[in-house]
Amino acid sequence: MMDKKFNWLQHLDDSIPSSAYGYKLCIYSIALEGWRRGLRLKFFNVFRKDRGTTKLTVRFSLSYNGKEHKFAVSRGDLVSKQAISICVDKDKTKEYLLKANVSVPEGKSFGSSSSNEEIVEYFKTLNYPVVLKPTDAGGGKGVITNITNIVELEEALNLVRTELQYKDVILEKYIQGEDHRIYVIGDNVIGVYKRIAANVIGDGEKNIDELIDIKNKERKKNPYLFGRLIKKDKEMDNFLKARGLTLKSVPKKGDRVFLREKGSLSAGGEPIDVTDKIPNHIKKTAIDAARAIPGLPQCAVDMIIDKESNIGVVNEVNSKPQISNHLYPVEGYARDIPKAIIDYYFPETIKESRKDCFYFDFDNFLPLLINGFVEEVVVPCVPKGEIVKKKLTVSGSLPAIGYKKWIKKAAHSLRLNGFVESPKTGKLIVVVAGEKESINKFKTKLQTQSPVELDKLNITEEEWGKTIKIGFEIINNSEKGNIDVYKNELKLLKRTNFKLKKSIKEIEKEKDSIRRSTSWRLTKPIRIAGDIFKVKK
Amino acid sequence: MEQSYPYWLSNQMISGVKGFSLCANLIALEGWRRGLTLRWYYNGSDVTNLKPVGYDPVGKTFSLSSGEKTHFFYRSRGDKVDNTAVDIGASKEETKKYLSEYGVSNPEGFSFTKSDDIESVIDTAKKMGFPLVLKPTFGSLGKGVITNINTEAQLRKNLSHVFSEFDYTNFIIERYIEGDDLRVYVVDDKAIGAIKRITAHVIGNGIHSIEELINFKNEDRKKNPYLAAKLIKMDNQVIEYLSEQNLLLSSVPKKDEVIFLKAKSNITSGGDSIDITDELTNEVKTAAVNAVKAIPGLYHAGVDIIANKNDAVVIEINPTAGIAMHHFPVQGKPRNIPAGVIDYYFPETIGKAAKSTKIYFDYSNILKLLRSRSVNQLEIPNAPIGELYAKRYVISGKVQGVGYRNWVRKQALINHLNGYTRNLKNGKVVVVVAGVNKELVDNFKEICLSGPKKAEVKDVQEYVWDKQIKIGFEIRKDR
Repeated sequence: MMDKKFNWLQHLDDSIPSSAYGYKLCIYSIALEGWRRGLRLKFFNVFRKDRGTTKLTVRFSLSYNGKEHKFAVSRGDLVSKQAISICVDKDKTKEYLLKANVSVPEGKSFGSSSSNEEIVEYFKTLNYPVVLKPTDAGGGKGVITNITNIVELEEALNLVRTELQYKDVILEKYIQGEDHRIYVIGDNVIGVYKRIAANVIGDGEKNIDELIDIKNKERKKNPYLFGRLIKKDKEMDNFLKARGLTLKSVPKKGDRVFLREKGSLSAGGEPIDVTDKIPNHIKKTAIDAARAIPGLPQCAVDMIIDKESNIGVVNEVNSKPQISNHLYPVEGYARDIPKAIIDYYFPETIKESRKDCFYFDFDNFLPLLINGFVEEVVVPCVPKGEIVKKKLTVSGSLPAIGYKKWIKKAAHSLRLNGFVESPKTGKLIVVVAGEKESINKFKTKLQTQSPVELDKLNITEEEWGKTIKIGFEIINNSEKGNIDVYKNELKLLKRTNFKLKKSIKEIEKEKDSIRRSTSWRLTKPIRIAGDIFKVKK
Repeated sequence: MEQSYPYWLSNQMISGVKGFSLCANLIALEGWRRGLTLRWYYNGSDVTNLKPVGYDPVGKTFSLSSGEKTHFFYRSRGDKVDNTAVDIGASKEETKKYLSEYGVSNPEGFSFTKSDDIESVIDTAKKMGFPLVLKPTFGSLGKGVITNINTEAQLRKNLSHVFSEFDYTNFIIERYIEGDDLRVYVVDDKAIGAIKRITAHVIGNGIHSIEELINFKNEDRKKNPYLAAKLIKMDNQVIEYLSEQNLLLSSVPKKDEVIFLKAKSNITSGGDSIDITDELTNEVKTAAVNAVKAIPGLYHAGVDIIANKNDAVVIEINPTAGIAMHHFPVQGKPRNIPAGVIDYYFPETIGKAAKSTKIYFDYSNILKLLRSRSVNQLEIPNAPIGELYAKRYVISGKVQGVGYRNWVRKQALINHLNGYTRNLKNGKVVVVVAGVNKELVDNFKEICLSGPKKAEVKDVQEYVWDKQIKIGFEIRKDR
């Protein structure tokens, strides 16, 4: 299914249910890694306070031999409360980083009591350009970069402190360079990616317009970026125009043409894996930064790295980062963050064989959690033992209704996983996975106990290569097709019913006429005598 | 037939739930409404040694917890009942033994197997004297039971019939006792519900044929959630039974003439269920209570009794009895069996929690999840405890296509309110919210008025809501 052009993790192919696409990918991929190793997986609702407002969120926990760890998206419960509170506060973060000699941009924070004048005075002592940002806002909100003079600073202060109401701000030196996100767990850097703005790479034939369409097609296959396509808008036209280009321009082969300024993913930006390209001293800085904050065994460190000098400063430390960009980069290699997290939390399971052939359902139970119909669900454990996967093609004179249910029941009784579908009348495809012995029992059951004409039943068998969702479902191929099958069946049944009713009436009529006939009346005494011996039902 | 639902239930609460799943649903609902924490399981054997019975046990095991203690249930049976009692109940032979030992009246009879010498079986039966009943030792739901056998010829014919038609190997022949066919539910030494089963029949009006009368009756039965799947079928059995009375489906019975359609009084095969709890005689009550006492490890069960002027004879004991019939009698008052069962398991909840009869949980969807085995266990949010207060708000303005419903769901859930929202065809949005905190429900009008960023709310109309409320908050499809 996945385009092999991308170097994504093979064991995640055909394993992500559609409701896990997008921002839920993070939670699903980590839960999946633990679950595939045989850990008990539970999802539950919590009410959490987030900056004064309450939110209802879905969380999960994994447990192994009685040891349980709870996770809030990518953050496990080994991250201390203190670490979380330090990370949300950029000021405090800086304090801890400085204490540990981790290089951070020169700057100072100002509380709500500080006046704008105070900030302007401090600005004069810094080398320009500078950046102004709120002390504790997430997601790049209210961050104003590249401020070079007092007028720009006053505008920025007005916007951030007055309009956006972030009273607590940081003013620091603006470091030229690229933003990188470095995932650290324990004492290791697991993955590094940077975001680059929307772009296309020329092939010498197609124009920018066509190249964007191809890019968007690829993005649709990306479980994280699928909903965020490159939009061809006015902003892009202007950006291209400024560079002497239009959508109709044909870039040279191998030339990368940027399409906008902004690198955010929703504006068509791309995560690029650069783990192997980052020098060790930068990685060390990231690890030092993580260590500088007490009780933070896992985090993502945001660093600005200057390309030429290879100098990096730490901008921010995130205790609960999205990890999906590491899994589905547009260039480079996917980095298995979920594996690293589970290795760290459950080192005793590192050697457990991971059952990559299974994944668990999300689409069916997630809405029940989100709607508050259920408080908690426990996912069935991944099957143990050697797993065999088979595709059985069943044909013969099969009924349209009932048989699939019977098959489902048979699969459940042997705790087999898979599905049954009927691509057309008279043919069923049954895919089952489980231990060899159970599969054999299942086949025997099909062959000898199916509620169909057994002598007409034909079952062929092949290996099944794809992944299998845990549980067993009846897949209704095309709604329309299925309705037609039922309609036909109903028509047939109605016809038979009609014929039977007709013959009942005819028989009754016959009986009536016999009863009224003279001979029937004459023989009545004999029949009464006979009734005495007649066996009642 | 007018009032099909007891006051504590409604159509929506149990829609899509059939058969013995309904038993589990009804007991769980009662416990959950009292504030107990409810969990459902795909397979009970993962968590409890409660013995499942029946063809499809999936999704019929649940637990109720009060904090200090947890009780598991399978259908209507809780974990105070020993598995040995379940085994005894499953065997009519064993049941008879224990009943007799305890001095509970039960029909004289004997057991035999398919491989026994048929002539000696018939000899023994003849010595006992007709009329007789033939039944499989481990059968249920009246399958393979032949009553009122009056001659040796009938006995022979029926023996060969049950031998060839069913897989049973063990049988009982016992004396046939004329009388009312009763099902009495006993819990904690009290008979809390009694149903009289009357053989499928129609009553003439001098105008309509038997066939038409059956159709009328079936139309009525369809309105009853318990009887809807138990219609009177006009099959060969009925035609034959009528012809024995010299009748046809087309015959027109006289006014008030009662025409029986079958020999057996099973509700499943079209019999009527009449609640007679208040009319139970002391003899019957004592027989039922003693029957449960007679089985070691049994504390609540459905007892089948044949009662006549002289005697109350126990026929069978069902430790995992169907309880829906007591909720939906054709005549008489519905009986809250679950209340009796929960009183017994959680006496501390008696009268303690002011329970609402409007709140319910989405069992039908939960059952779907468990049946596909995509989930192994799940927990329902605790029921709000107290009098449920609800409002229906209709919001007008620019409120569709602006994320209003998603937003309002979040607002409702964080305020611990339950209900639903739906887009209306006229461009408005309806929001129903319910909770035990009146203020929160009333204040929700203000929340509706504010709306999400993109919305422009013009007006919020407020209405009373006194119907059922599903726990959680749902975005319903447009109508």
